[in-house]
Amino acid sequence: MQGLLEQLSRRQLIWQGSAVRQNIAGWPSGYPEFDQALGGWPAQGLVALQSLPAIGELRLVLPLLGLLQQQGLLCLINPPQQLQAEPLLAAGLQLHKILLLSQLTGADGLWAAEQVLRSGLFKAVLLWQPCLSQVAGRRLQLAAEQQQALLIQFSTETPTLSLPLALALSLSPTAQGLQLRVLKRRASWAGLEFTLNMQAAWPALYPQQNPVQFTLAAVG
Amino acid sequence: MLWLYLHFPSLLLDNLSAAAPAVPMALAEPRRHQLLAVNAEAAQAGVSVGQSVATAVLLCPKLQLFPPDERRQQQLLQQLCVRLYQYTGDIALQPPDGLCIRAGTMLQLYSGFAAYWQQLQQLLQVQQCRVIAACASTPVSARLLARAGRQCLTLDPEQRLKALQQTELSYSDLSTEVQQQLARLGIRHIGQLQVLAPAELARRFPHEVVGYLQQLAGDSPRPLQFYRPASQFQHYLLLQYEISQTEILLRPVSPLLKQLQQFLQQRNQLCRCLILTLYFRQQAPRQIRVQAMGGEVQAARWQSLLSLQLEQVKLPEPVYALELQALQLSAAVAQNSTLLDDKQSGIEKNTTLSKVQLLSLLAAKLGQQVLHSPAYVSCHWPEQSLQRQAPLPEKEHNSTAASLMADKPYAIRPSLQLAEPVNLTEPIQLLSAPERLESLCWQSGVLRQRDYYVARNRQGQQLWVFKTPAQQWFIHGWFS
Repeated sequence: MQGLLEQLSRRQLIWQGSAVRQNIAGWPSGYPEFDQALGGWPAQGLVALQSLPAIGELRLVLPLLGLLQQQGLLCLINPPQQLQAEPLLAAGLQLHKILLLSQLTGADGLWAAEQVLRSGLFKAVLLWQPCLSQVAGRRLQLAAEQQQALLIQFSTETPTLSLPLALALSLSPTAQGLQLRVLKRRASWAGLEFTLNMQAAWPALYPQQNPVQFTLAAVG
Repeated sequence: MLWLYLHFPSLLLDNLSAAAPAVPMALAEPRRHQLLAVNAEAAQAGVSVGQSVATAVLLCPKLQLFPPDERRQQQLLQQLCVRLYQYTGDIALQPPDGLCIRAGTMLQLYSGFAAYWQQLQQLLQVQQCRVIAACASTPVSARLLARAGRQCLTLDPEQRLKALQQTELSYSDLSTEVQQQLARLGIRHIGQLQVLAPAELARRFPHEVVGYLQQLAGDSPRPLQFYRPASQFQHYLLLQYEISQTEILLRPVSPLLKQLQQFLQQRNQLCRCLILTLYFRQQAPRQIRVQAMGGEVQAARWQSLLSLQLEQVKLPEPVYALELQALQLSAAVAQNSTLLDDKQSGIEKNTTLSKVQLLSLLAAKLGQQVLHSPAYVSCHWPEQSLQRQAPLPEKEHNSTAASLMADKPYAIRPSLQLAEPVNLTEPIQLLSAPERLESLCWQSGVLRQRDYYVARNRQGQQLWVFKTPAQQWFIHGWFS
């Protein structure tokens, strides 16, 4: 029994209530549905977001980033395309508090993420990385929790759930916003599903009327 | 000006005996098999300088013999100089066995020579090496007195002059030929030389003699190269016995680590990387690299890091010497925390690096070209609106960015823009009315025209697409 418990806790599958209390208090997400379902983002640790690119995964965290930027710096590591400043400004972010590291190899990206977290200057690190190894995940989690920062990993692949993740979400697009499914949540259950309406925040991207169906002649 | 000269007659041997007390030791010339220096234990057994090695070993079978190692001697002298530098300013190395110190400038600080000398003496006692100190008004005369074995620490110029006059010429820096020449005339002491008229000396002896006398008197001072503290830490340690087990290897390293700690503390620095080089008799030296990401000062922490590394090392043959080198030194940051800690967090936050330090660390490993902050330029053409600025500037580079934002609502722009537009090859739904962007190339006069739309593909991805007048469609951005 003792051995089994130990094994489970080592695989991050069980948590002790006492250790978990402080992690529950989180950051408001800016989306009422999100806060109602999950009580906001975790205060610190690792967050994994699994989604296709360009469905609103960055938009989901923009209000959170605006909040975190009041207390520290932000770092974006290896975004898949060139970062446009205008949407960031529109979300109220300050560009001079954002560090952008691009075109790093996977190992360099992880190294940089750890250094950035350990420096204690940053409140959030956004990392585009296909998957995290057990060791890398553990290192990043320790660095993030030590400095009370968040590491948000964007990936198209489903995250390994044995990683010490505070929250793992799978995102899929809907006509009005996003459909979120909890893959893993510390001190809670997985499997929760809910939708998020982004129409109010980005009316231009989610028009009310029926969109124009357009099929390329050459393709269709 | 008062000069102090410290002469270390048996620096190498004293150092060796300090490491292994109560062992008779001697330095032996390897070719002529003659003893050059002996320590106290060896002298007790009847061994003396100038004896042949065979005689000495017969007299004292336990005698340990070492070759005179000039490099090591130089290192020891350098180390002494480093120690002394903490207490006194201008020190000139006088290899192979002396240090010349400008004491005159330090007397005010120590309020007198007695206190000054006491301080230096305390330090020298810790080093456990024999020293003969002499002070004089010129560096050359101080050197002569000390080399002659006259401990002369008086401030009275009369006494000093008397001592100098009685000093034999054989201890001077004159060449042996000149000394012989003078000895043939019965001139054996400095005093005898000083009474002679310089003009006569210049006529009868090489110019060297007059030059030396002038240096003694301080008339034509010889420029001295004063010690400047090293910016690097590098120490070589010759082991007393060869070590073949890695666990034991840590023992001789720990004093070096303590020295490193002292070195770093004195300079208020941190070290990120240590290289321990192990020297083998047959094989090429092996380097062990230890990294401390956040930078480290404490010897104990380095020791634990090093022991982790050494556990993995397998020694191919015994190690006879090792060298410790510190790389990647950087200034230590004082850890400032707020007077009233953040009550909510409860745990105090520890910032280990400043912004600049972090950036330099990242740049050192990744290169400066990957570090940026995004920048906003007021430009409607998408390709030209992608701008970067130096990473984490103090203030907003373009101060108009904020004011612009207040004036006009932001246009619909994708958060991630493709570096080059790519051909659209899938069916899409258009979600917005077109936004026409035009750009006139002033060189060729060609007008470029694009109609931009927000679109959604079948997977629900929101794309920024445009149509050219030629009805070609391209994807140019992702609404991430």
